Amino acid sequence: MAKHAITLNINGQQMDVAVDSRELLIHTLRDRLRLTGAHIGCETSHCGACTVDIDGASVKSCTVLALQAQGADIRTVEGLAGSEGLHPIQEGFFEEHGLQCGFCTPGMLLRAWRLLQDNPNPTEDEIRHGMAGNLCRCTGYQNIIRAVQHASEKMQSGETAAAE
Amino acid sequence: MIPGRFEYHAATDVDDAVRLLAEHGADGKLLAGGHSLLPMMKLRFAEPAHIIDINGIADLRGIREQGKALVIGPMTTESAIIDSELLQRRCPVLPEAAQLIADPQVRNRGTIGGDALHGDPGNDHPAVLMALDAEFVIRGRKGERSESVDGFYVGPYLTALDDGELVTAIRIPTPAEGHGYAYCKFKRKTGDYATAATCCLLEMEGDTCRRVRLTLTNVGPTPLRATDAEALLTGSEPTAERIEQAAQAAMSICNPAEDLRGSPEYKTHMAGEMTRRAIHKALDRARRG
Amino acid sequence: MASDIEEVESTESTESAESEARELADRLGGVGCRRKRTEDARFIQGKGNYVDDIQMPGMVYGDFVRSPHAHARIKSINKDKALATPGVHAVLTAEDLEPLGLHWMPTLAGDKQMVLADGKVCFQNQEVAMVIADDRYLAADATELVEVEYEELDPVVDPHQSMAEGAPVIRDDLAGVDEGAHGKRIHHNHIFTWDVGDADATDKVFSEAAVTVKQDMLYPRVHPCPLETCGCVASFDKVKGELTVHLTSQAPHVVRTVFSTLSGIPESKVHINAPDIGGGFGNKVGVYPGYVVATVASIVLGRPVKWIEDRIENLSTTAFARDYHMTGELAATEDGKILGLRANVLADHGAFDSCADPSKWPAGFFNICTGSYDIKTAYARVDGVYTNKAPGGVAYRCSFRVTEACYIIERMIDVLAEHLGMDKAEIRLKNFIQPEQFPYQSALGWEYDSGDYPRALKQVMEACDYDGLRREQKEKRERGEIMGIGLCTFTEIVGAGPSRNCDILGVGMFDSAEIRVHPTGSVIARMGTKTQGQGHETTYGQIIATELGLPSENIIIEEGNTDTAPYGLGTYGSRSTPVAGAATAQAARKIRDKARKIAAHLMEVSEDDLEWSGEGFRVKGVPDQSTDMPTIAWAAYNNVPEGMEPGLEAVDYYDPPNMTFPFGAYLCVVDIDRYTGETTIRRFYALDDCGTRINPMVIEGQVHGGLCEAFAVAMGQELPFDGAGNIQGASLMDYFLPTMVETPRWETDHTITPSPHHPIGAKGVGESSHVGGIPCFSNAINDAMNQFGVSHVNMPHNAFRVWRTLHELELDQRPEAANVEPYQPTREAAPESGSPASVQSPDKASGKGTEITIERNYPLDVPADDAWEILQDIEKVTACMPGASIVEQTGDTTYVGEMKLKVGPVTSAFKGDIEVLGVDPENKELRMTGSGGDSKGSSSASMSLTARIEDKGAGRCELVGSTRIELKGKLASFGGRMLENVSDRMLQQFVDSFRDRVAAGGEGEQAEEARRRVEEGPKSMNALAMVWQVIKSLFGRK
Repeated sequence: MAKHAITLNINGQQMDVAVDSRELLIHTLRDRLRLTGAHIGCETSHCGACTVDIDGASVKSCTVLALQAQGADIRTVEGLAGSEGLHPIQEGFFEEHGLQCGFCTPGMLLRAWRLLQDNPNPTEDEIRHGMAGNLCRCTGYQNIIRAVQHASEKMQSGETAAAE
Repeated sequence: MIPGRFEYHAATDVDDAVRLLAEHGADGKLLAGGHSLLPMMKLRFAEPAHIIDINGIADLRGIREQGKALVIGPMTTESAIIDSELLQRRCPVLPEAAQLIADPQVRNRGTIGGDALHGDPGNDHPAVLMALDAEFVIRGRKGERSESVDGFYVGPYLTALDDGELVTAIRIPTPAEGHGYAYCKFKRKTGDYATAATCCLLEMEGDTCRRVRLTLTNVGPTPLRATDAEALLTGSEPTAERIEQAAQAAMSICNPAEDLRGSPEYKTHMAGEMTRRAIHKALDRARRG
Repeated sequence: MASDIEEVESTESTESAESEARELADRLGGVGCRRKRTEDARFIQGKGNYVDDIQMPGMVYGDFVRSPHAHARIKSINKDKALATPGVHAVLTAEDLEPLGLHWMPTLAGDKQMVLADGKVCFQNQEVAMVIADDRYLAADATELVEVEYEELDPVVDPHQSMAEGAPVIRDDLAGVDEGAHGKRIHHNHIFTWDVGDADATDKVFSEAAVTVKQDMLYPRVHPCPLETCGCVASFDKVKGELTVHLTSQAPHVVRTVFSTLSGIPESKVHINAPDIGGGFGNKVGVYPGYVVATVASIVLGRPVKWIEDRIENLSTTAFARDYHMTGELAATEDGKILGLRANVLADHGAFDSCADPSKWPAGFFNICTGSYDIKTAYARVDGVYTNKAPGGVAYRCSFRVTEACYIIERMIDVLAEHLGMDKAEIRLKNFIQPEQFPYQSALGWEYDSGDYPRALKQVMEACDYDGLRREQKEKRERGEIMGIGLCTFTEIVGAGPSRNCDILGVGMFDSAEIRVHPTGSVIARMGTKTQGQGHETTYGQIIATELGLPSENIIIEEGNTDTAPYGLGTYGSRSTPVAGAATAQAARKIRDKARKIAAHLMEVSEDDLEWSGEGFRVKGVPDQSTDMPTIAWAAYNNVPEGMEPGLEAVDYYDPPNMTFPFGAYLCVVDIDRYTGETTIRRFYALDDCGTRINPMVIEGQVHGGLCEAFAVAMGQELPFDGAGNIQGASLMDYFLPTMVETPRWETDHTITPSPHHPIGAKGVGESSHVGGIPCFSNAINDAMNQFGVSHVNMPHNAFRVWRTLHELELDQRPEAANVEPYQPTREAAPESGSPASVQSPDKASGKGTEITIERNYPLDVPADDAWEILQDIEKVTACMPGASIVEQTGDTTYVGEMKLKVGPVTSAFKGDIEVLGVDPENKELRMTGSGGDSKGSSSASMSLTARIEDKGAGRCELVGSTRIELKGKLASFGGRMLENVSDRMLQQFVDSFRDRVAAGGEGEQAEEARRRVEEGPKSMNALAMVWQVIKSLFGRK
């Protein structure tokens, strides 16, 4: 079966790849494009380690065909930090010890990143439910919640500062 | 876990999808959100030779009010259902149920059609749509027809939908203003299928139940409508005793399969408990207006 | 008066010294400060480097063909089709590995294990062959093309039946071997009997004691389930004859030694690299068949070979933990002073004993089971047995079998308290080893290093208002609400271990550190351990910073690469800080000793006149005269005293004099919903004492993580099997990994009781909260149940199990139910036709497999003779089965049949043998059996059918059918529980078709209609809904 040519806009950069119809997006990202930040943890869409952002929504990339992402804007962990340095959500995870082995972290970060755009000032309960699709085996979650709160505060104070 | 090979077709519109379905017959499979189909394909339990992706068909998405009905495109995602201001206002039980399905990422991809049309007794929308007296608008080579949700589910994974047919809309009679509603779902953990769940919709007239719908998820080969339980409540005052009787009537029709969620006895008990809670919650909401 | 002033001064000076030390630690990033982690920078930017991130030129992929059976002989393996597939490079089986002597490998427990199935399979999903192909997709495709023919054998699933007379022989290779690695074997499925303590003295104490209690308890089989599964990239350089393996290992040096020994490649030419590891929790200690076969494949093909297991493989094959069937007994005085303990354990080790314990400890350190209590007399015995289940027995976030030991004693002390009507805190306080008793010799042979148990418990009781909680519980009980309070006051034994009694495959369990100080004062250090998230790169740096007075930000820590790191035994059993952490401090002290000499040389004073300032040396009594470590480091490379070697580095191999004994006191409050069985964890308070605290932030993180895993184990994790050895629930749909929503909030606290024998007094903390947390949760649930007279319920305490107990106690009924007439159904939910089904559901408890028996009577409106005519015609009978057909007749009564199942997108094709066992015209009875496998080799099914026609007179008869269907393999693991529903439907369809076929032989309109339906044939699919269910039941999310 012939390969399909697709174009993905990843972290603001256009990438053209040829994929098999059955190729899963996570494999395209990791194996073809060498963006190995997103990981494979369960393969049945339970763990969220493969979470990336597609066209403004968090998605588990192990359960999406690469072909389905044709033309999509994709954000991965590699594209979180900007020219001015780490994104506040990355800082939050660092400051609050929100990670240990680091395997779930890229998925957590991408999910939290989107969550904070949808809801800039989430309550603890909203964070817990908003990130229920991401499993972590190391941290017991408490510091991840703090990390998201840290980022939320920082982003809001940043906005306030910018407004002033 | 790697899916087998298949030919991929992106349907451009409903006619194209129907044509592709006709062409590939039994070897073709529609790809909606993919969160049931792709895991199945990775396990090699499902190996369709042709995948017909209907994600690009804009006509199949969206939520709108049409006269006295709400019309939902089957490719509308769970997230869109949760966020719909129209549904929150007119038919809040749907967002309530959608919120209890899977997790945020899965809800971004998963669709109401994917959930409702597999005939999977564990899925949540079938019971909710059954309680809402909804109908499916179906397109096939022979044209368009409608099927009431009540009666659509024949057995586990068996529905009135034929090979080669496609649901193009879900039509829901707009529930009465001030109706009470609740979808109470018991699950082992976030994201799980229901151990048992009950949908209750009711309309009150003073202290009397004018109209009641009670439907159950995952306690039989299909979603179940608890008509005897409904009859016990309809036209009477829903006292604690009457609600207890209705819960027992709901339990009497349960025939769940054993799995790691529990024994049939437990699931039946949970269907009763979810029924009590759903009725109480719906009553509270109806009384509060 | 004068003395008073002195005291005040001394307190002040102590305080100021402490605050100075804190200030220094903060400045240097040394011991005691909440230093942020150095490893985080790469992880938060997606720049971690895990095994599956590694790509190499020419790399190919391996994937396993696995057994659907728990126990079967392999009759043949045919690789032709797979090998003929483009992109497939090799298919390796035991036969290919045998010439290299690699078809079996030694286990850490002194047993051996098949690398690939050698003549038989002993557990479901066992590795049978590995396919090597260009990419993961092709490899997965080709595994389905390897044809394996099995002859099924009876499996042993229940360990209690393992040593029964006539139990099937699991290990043919051990036939007649009476001497095992740990003593005499008394049965062909017996592995070892290990006991410790004074059995006679214990018997005597029990026979004389005023009070004795006894309780059976099961610690179920669970799995560590790190988020990253196991995997490797093996690369053999044919030119250099060198092997490099990147793999997920908690103990890379041991792997190097094993690989060298197995392969014959000199150890200097074996390079093992454990890159970033996505969590281990004991899962990544062992050497797994995947590593070995990928390595052989790389040697054979001369190309790098990657093997990464998927989640089902991970849960069902590489390692499990626990599976201890325990009986605990305590003897005590009437006022609750414990006099003796007896513990008996039946340990299910699966098909191969691949426990990851130190060699001489087949039951690990289970003899820590006297816990925190001063129990003078004790006896413990563990019997290990084989079963047809995956091998393992790893230490899941604990030191070897310490969770099991902690569980039994912490449950038993509650059982005793309950029996005596004593408070559960009071009984602990009464029996604690007292602070002045340390070092304490336990009855089962350990020397506890240090502890203050009463202080820890009292601190927790005060923080949580324990008495208030008990009052609240009583009040709630009166209101019909169910609340439980769990306590756990545990003692761990970690830091294995002294080489006099701890080794792995003969290598002593020391650990190591090598530190080099560069001329400019920055440092690189390497250890023999391997972090998997514990934060070694941060915390070892803190030890060095404090010991050398150099800022930790300039200290690089490396682990995992066996070429550069000194030999060490790895990270598990909380041994990194107690052993490698000690080595780090010792190596740093060697450097400091040399630095002192250089400082004396630089300052032209005697060494004896110098004292350590925290950042260098100063002349005693002349604080202004000092030199700092960077200055000394520079001098080490250009200005050393005469006769001294230049440079500033040291290596230390630390053989610990004893284990360390961290301890803690935990309290958990639960509220139970009596109508659903659901538990809410209202509060969890954890006080840990791990001695000196290197980094409180990291410690709290470790405690949170361990508690979360404890919550998972206590409340939901289990890996059950059906009676045929099919594993159930081996995916993340069923295997309980809590999400953020269920996970409780954690409160942490601490006391500090340094270890007297560790250079910096640290004890290790990575596992404490898992070990102590599990009994605490379980004790809380049991405490709730104790109120109603239940002494013990087993884990996991999921809602279903909790409800089952409540239901037995009749606590789950609504009060209003008493006021209404029980509802009488107005209509029967009768089947469409025929008599009510007599269905036996799959029942694990009865030891059955995933099977079902259905017996039904179907009335037919045709004469008995007509029906019988069809029934004897096997081809016609088969044609009545949806999707079934006869492919060929192979004998008088034997056929090859095919069955295609299709439900929506789900398809499955079974092919197998059908045999007609008997056709009895007298009774008009047909008996047949069929069995076969699916075309992918991942599932099999067997069925027996008895069908009889009973004449009912007046031209009517009845078809009396009895069928038994059994599933094995993937279908049984993931879809078996829908069997009843689907089989029933299938049978109904069969009868409908059969009826049509019989009717078609008649005349009239009805016969016409029946003929038309026969013509159309049964709709292929309805039957197979099961397969669809399969997936969804476990995998589908929508």
